[in-house]
Amino acid sequence: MAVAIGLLGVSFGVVAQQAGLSSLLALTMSALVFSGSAQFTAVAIVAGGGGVGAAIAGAALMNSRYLPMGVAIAPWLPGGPLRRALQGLVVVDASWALALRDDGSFDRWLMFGCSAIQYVAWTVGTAVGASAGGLLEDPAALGLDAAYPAFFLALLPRGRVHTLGEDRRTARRCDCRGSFRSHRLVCLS
Amino acid sequence: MNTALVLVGGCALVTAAVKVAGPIALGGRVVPAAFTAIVLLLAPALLAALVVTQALADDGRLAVGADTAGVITGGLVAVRSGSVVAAVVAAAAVAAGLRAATGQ
Repeated sequence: MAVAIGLLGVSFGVVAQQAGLSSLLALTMSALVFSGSAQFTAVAIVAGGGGVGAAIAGAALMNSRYLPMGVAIAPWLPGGPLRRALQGLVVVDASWALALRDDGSFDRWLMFGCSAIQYVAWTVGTAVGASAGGLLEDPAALGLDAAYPAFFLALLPRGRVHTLGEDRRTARRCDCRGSFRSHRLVCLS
Repeated sequence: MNTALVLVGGCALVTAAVKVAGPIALGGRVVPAAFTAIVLLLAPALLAALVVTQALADDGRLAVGADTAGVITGGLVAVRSGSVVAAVVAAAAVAAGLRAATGQ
């Protein structure tokens, strides 16, 4: 997973550099935002001639998935509002899925560890990509624009065929858990 | 203020706001199981929408191109191998190969 995140970080660094962001700003964005989909979207909008407001709105829309993810994990984050908010900032797609246990609860320490590894891979990858981006004439020639959607596609839970004769609700629950179990295998690969 | 700085700061703020909203609003309260079941399905649904729009959207219109073929290949590789790295590399390789072959 860290390797994939690192490759995508390189991809973002290249795209950001080509869009006119300095290496330092690209790295700062990755360090502060730490959300690939939002970053790619915002940079693409600005590079396409869109305004900063539209880019930020696009980033917010892309990150809207973190709202239900934050709601789901909230009961397992202890402490006062500030402490819970700081823990909520650590949520990213893969670590959230990895932290989901079979009984629907969350292992927050597992999520923190997974997010920390991804954070390092993402920021280091961005630094490498932003530094090397100037050497590439056309990043699209490397197929970098296909890499990020493919990453999310690989993260998506896989559907399971419900067992005939099972109670529908139980089958649905198993489907959800099974999906996220396979999700975990993906995260560990 | 520098436009790029506003972009980076704005993106950081909205991302933080979305991420902390749930943990702050709900706190340690346990939500009903039915609600949790729905919420758990929302994130994959939004991710799916993200994949479709990024694979098919091209300057405000829908288009099938080398990137679409790359994403589909990446998905197939992910299903077959379970490796995210292999999926990402395959997607980029197919998109790049098709562009090189067609001169796009």
